[in-house]
Amino acid sequence: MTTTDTGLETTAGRDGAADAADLGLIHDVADRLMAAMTSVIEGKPDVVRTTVTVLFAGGHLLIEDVPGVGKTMLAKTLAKSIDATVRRIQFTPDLLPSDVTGVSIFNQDARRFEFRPGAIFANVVVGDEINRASPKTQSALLESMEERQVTVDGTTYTLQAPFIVMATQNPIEMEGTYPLPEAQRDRFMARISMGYPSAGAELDLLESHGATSPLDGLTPVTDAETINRVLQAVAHVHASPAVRQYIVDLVARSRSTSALRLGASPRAGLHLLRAARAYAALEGRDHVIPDDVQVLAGPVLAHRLMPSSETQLARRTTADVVTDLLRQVPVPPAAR
Amino acid sequence: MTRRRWRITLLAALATLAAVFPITSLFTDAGWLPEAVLMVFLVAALGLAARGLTRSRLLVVAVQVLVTTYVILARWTGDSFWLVLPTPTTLEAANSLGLQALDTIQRYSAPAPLNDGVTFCLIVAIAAVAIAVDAMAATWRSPAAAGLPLLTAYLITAANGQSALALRFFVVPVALWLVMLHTTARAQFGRWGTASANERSEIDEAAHDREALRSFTAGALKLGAVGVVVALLVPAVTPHFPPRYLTEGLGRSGGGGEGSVGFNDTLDLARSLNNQDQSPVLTYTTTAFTRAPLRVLATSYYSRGHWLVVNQGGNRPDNPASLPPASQRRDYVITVTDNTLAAPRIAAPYPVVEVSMPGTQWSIDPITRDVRVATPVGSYRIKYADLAPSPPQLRQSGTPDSPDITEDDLSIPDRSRELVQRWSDEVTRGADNPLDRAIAIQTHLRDSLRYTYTLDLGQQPRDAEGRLLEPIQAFYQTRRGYCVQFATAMIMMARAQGIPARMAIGFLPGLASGDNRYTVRASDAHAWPELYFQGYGWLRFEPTPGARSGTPPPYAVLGPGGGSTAGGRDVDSSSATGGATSVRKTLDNPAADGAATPQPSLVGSIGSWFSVRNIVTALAIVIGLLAAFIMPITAWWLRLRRRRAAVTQQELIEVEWMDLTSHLGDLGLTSPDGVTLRQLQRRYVTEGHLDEENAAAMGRVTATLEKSRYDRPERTSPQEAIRLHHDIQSIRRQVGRTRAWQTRVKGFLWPAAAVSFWRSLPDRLGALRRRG
Repeated sequence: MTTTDTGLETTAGRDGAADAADLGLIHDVADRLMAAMTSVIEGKPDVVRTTVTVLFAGGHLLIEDVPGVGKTMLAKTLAKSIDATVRRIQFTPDLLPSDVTGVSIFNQDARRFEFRPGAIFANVVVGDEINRASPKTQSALLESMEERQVTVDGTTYTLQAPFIVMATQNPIEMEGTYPLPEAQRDRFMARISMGYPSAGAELDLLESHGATSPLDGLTPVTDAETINRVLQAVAHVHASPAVRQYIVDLVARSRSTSALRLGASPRAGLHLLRAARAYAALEGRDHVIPDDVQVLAGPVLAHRLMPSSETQLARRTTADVVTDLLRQVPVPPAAR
Repeated sequence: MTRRRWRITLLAALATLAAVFPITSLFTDAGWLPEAVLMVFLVAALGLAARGLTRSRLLVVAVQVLVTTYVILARWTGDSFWLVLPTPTTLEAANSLGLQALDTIQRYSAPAPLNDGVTFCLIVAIAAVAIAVDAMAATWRSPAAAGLPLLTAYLITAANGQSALALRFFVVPVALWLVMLHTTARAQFGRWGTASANERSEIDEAAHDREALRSFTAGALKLGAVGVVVALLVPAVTPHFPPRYLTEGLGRSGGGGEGSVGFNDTLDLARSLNNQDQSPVLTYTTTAFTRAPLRVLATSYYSRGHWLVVNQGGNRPDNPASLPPASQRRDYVITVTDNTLAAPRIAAPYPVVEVSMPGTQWSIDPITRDVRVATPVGSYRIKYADLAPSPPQLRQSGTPDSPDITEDDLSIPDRSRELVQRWSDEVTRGADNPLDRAIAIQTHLRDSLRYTYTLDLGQQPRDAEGRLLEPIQAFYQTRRGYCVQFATAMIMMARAQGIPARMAIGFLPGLASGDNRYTVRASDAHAWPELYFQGYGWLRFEPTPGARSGTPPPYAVLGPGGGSTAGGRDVDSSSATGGATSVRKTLDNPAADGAATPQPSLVGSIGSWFSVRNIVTALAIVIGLLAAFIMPITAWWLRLRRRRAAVTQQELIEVEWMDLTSHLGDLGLTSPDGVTLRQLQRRYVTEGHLDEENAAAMGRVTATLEKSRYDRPERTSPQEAIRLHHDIQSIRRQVGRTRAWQTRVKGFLWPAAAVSFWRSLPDRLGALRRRG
């Protein structure tokens, strides 16, 4: 969002009419993206929707599931649908931080150090199996994900906009994985899990994936500049005081509940609001309603929370706790 | 706004004073009035001060009640205070004051003497009225409702008073009340005006109907004024109201207090009974314990539906037949003063034994034993006999054969003869002697389930040829009438059974007016039959049911089968004390005498409805009802308060929504905490079994609410709030229809909003105290 398009600014400047125009744009882009993605990821409309929501909210997405359910496919589909620079990083235990961020190399001809950008310098970064890298390497992502810049040898390089990191990971119980540091988990706007496909979808999958990869036929349906404009438009979606209060209440309750060892951060609340705005726009509304917040509370909050030992013993996940929170926190405006 | 409240408060105080001022006519002196003025203005001042300090209306009223109670208690029962605090003795003192007042009110008719107890109760009542009026008019700003306590205060006086209240007593409070209405209405419109000047455009839109609303209010005000004028005019032109007995019938013949009363020849008592005038016809003292009716005349001549007094010539004896020997009767003396009955009639119990009337010529009718005078007489003393034969003696009385009996005493109008014969045969079936027949007839007519006592005879029935029915037939058909109809019916039925009977006209014994004196008013006029029993003469019976009737004599209350030998000994005390064998004759207990003779007139009985006990009972019922409906009332009040507090469109919409959710919650459709509007909408539609139309209405409601809550505020229009109201009403009705009646009743009587209000009251009072 560092880049501003002049045309966009004027559009956003005209208040009333701007909302309608922006919604049209969002709707249009979302339709095309989702159509493209659904053609590859079959039988998972909710996953696709959340993915697009996160993209439109300008957040990073963490896809967590067991191997083989199409995590990477989802990331690659989204990347390929957008006409933008796409880089893919295969995280391995021996991956070094400089491989991600870039490195300064001494140029013999010019007799000075030159910066060779790492894999992070792209609009869409697909980080595959992110929890196979050592925490040290994972940490290299921290600055870039939050501040959209990279600092190497004292020089700060700004990343292009849009910038979205889509990381896949296996559940941490799997063999040879390092759990993501809390700080890094907090930087992902949402975590989704693919889940197994339905029987019918799986049957279709076996049939169609026989000869060619479905990715082959996929052409970009939008470009980086359009995504930037969408991001701008989403920021104009109205969030009333009541909705903001609801988010604050939810986050505050997550900090006080005994079911959690670590509650949601203020950044979590920010992410939730942004995601809710994008979701409302996808629904064709120019204002956020509590239903948007409820839909996204699970994906946005669950991966940041740390369950208390009682919750773990009860074999309940943080997603269950979030569901409980939603049931307990009154939707404002409550009775005065 | 504060100025308005000043004005309203002042108006409320003045209106209260104006409404209670007529009470001056109920008591002999107006010593209570300064106290009342003081108390009314104390209430007003308290209201002003409390409203300045707190916004809680209940608190204002609580302050008024507490401080006023304290001041009243300190003023009248201050001796019992410990330092400055009331003690349990204070309550006892207040109670004894109340008992004193009760006793005074029971003993005296208006105007009653004023004593501490009466003043105390009066001041308490006036303070209650003042607080109610002030609370409604100023604290709640609904002066319309304040009309009720004002009217109550006025009505109590009007109903207990001796005479119709002067017009000004009604006009002044009503005028003040209308001014209050007007002031409040103007203040409220003033509020609208300033709001529309400062607020945003949407309120302007709502306020553009202001002119229409104002004209509506002006119209309402005019309507109210017209109503008051009509209330004054209608009684003035309606017959019966300003009594016409002034020129005819029984009543006061002249203006002022010194006129005289006379009977006209047709003896129509209806006008006298309808008489609103409360000035006494006469007052008397008596040595008898059970007071007998005062007879003025008797007549046997019935013609064309009327009893007429005729001067019979022919075979009249020169002297009345002699009375039974003194051993079989008991003589009493009645002393009449302030007699205003026109000559030649005077009133005295029957039968007269001795007349003491110095300076006035009098004669006694040999047949009827009426005493007549040549000139009006102011006071006289008459000795009369109480004939109390025992039923067995009466049963054995022989065939009537006496020069006292004329043909008229047994004549029945031809047109009704057949009916009367059939009717009396039916009623007296199984009775084999004249007394039992007479008692059977009397018992039959006194059955108030069968017959209705009323002064309004209604439309007189006609026969097939369109002629008016003979009054006896008419009475047989309509079964309604007053003493004349009942007496006539009994006379004719007795004659049909061979018992000579005649009509006696006079007065009921009247009401105690203290000091062992009794007052007879025109409305005490009464008619009763006299039946002849050989050896005992003419005996009184009492066939008229209801309060405005005499007590049947002891020989006439035993059932036909009762073989008791002692006349009236086992009837209730009021009758038994008058019986021949009774020795419980105490003359030094007038209160007991008054109580033992329940013969109140109609006005008296209305007055007695307003006795302290009845008022307390009514208050208890009202309080009980209030207590039973405290929850719905609270819920209603909470809704009203919320609605009043709502200013913006958004707040109005929220109020509507809260009404809906709380109502549906009471019907079992709760709205849990974490549920969003859309989820709630789906829940209401499915669980409320809403039809398509109402489901659409529900959709509109939630859409409006969602917009109001979560969209940009300027997008909500006033029209939506109005449409919302209609949709919500419709949904409420439909959901209500789908619920079991138990649920609906419970939802009405026990609304959750009210319950939570009362539950949270201690907390909020605590918070208030901390803040204070």
